[in-house]
Amino acid sequence: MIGSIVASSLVTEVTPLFVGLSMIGMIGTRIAAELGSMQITEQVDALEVIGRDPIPYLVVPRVLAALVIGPLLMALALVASMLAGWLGAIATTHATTSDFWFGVRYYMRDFPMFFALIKGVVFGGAIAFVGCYAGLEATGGSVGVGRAVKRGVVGMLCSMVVLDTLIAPLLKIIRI
Amino acid sequence: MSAVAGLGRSTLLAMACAQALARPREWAGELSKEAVRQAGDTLPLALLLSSLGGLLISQQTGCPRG
Repeated sequence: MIGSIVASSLVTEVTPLFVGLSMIGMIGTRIAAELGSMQITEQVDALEVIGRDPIPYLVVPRVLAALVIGPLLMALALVASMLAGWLGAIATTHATTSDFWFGVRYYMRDFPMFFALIKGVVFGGAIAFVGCYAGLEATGGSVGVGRAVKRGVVGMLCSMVVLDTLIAPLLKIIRI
Repeated sequence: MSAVAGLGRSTLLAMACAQALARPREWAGELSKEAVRQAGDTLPLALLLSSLGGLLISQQTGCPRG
């Protein structure tokens, strides 16, 4: 029983949320600060002056990389969280190893795993895109970079929660 | 900047990204470098947080010993 409960909560919500928060902290803020400082030092304008469109150089690789990295991180994080859940269960509760993994196998089907990986793609893309947008909208010197990062983090958190709320029922309806 | 203007500008950025996808020569070089950097930055924190989350959920869910 404990295995089912741990697997269901970890796979569908807890691990995707933690991976999303990690991506916001490590990817989204870096992108917003990087592009924000490029924007206020007019490096983005310099690209346009030499006839290069800044979007394919600055935005597209970051967003595509996050779209690829999101599900990979999610898969590794799911393995780590399940192993930690197993360790926690056998160390602090009456559950045995076989009880735990029986519960996990009872709950685990293809769909919840696929569900989590889709969340990885969606969160990754949204976080990188909002980070790029916030960075490119930065104005007003070094203070503006701080403001851009703040706006970016708020936007990323809101978009992650909104997307989480939207894709859960959508995927359940589609039942891919 | 109002929320509507922000929504419009972000939509324009998304459309510009979609158009830029047709020119892979401009972004393909940076893509692998960026992916490696993002993975290297995020993986340790994601593993740590998700492990702690797993530990916490299993501790809180099961009937404690003793």
